[in-house]
Amino acid sequence: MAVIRRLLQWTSTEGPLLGLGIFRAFAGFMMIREAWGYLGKYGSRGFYQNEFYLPYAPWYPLPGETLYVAILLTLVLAGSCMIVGVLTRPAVVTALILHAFHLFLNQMWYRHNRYFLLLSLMLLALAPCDRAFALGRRGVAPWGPAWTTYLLRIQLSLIYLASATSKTLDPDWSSGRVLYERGVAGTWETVAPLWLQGVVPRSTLVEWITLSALFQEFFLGLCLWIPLTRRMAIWVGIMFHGYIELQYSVLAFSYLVLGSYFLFARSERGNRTLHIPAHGRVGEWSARAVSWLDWLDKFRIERHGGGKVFVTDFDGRAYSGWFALVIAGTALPVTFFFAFPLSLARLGTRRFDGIAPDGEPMEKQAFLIPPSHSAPMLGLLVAAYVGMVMMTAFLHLPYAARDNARNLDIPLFALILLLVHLGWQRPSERGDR
Amino acid sequence: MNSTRGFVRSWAILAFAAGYLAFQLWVICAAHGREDKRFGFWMFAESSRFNFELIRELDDGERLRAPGGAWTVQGRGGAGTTYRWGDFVREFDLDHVETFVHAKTGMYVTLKYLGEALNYVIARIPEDHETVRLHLIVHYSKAGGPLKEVVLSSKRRAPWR
Repeated sequence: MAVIRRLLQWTSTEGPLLGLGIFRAFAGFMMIREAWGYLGKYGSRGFYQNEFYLPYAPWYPLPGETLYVAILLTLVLAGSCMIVGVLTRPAVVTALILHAFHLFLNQMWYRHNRYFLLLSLMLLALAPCDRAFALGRRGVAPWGPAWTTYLLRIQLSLIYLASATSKTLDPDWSSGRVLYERGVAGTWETVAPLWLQGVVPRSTLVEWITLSALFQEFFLGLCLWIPLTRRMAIWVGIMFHGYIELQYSVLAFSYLVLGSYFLFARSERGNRTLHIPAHGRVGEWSARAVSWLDWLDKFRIERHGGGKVFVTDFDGRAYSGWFALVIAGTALPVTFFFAFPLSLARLGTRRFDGIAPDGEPMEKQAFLIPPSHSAPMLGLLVAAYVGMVMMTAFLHLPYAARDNARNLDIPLFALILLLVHLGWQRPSERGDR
Repeated sequence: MNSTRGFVRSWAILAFAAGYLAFQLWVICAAHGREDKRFGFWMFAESSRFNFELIRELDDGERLRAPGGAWTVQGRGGAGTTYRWGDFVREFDLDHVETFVHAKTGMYVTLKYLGEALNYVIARIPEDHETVRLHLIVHYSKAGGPLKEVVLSSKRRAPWR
């Protein structure tokens, strides 16, 4: 009985909706990509019924050519509305109905990512997803019922765990054959020098990669829920899906999963502080940059009489110099991937005890890696990342060449999100909080 | 009144959430028992590979190979018409005639689609007055298993008179 009571209480739990709003924008973006892809196919190959197709059931209603194109165009429009948050709820419901209809037109169009998009739209249709990141509802408090956010989180974990479990139980997968067939060994033979191939034969490599993939899926399915491991899980997830996206271009799946990570963000708002000098351009520009990129509303901005910019993290520790940039970067979605590994250097720091009147942190801190070294490390990490991306792109040119448009996806979408973020809430409201 | 409405709403949400998750679990478990793995989130399933060649069967029972999946016939007016498998079947990597390719999703689904595609094609070659049936000889290795061969056949159509 107590369990039922707690579950009933859970249904009325409320929480911040910023993550949900961003996830809605991701789903809208994927809706556009999906529909745009089919429009492209229509443009190059004509109406889908002019070639072999297979409906799920003979009674399933089939659209004529004009209606088919109209459906795809409507999906693009609905996706656009979902991104910017105008007529959001009708757009989500429209996208849900039309996407479901389109998905079941042809059995050969089934993809896990399209099904995942359908489930996401269904839950979004029931969620107050129009109260954050929505130009159509500016000034509305991004707060409301959180049960759909929980369901979306559970959905993501179910996907990871279902995928990992099935692969572990499948001898074809656990033996490494599937990844071997997917070109992993070919990459190794192209990249590694002969002596290294002798030390680590491709069969061993494929076994390692298979084990690593299975471990990562279990890790992501479980550790996104644990506060201590959540940020590590998100970082691993970005690497995991980033690599899959570069190699195999699964599109909607990668981006929807990345969008789902916003649903796991800590619920507290304004639990970090950017301390800036009361006067001076550096402080003002730092404040401006942070407010532009702070999509999850994590930062408060305070002015002090000193001359330095520094950041207080959610646990009360304060950081200045380059390391302040790193710590601030871990709370900003756009910079999280680069900043998080560097932020691990603070594991050796002591707790911060307060700010002196001159604006300096009062306790001297001991770092595993001194903050003065974080700038070169940041450069090194960015170089390593760009190098990995370029290597993958060159080695898998046939894959990369198949859909060059996707290379613009992340920058373009980040820019759109930035504009929506700047537009949806009045600056005065951010300042008031 | 409001508390009654809130109570009903809470129960409705709870029922939906429980139903949704139960349905998801059932769909995932059921999918893993099925050959097509649909709705089960079994990504990158099977390491299977296959190739196939297209065979035409004439009314007298003679079987002719269509190299590259293409064949030319004399139409009513005497002009030659060339049909190509790849013009009819383009999705799911089913257009790579006589080339070994990875089987998307798995062999079961691939063979099912190839069988359906045969019926689709045989119904759409009006200028071909000779062919009464199409066959595909499919060579495949399922999940790293030995190479096997299966012959898929379309429905028989009445010869043109």
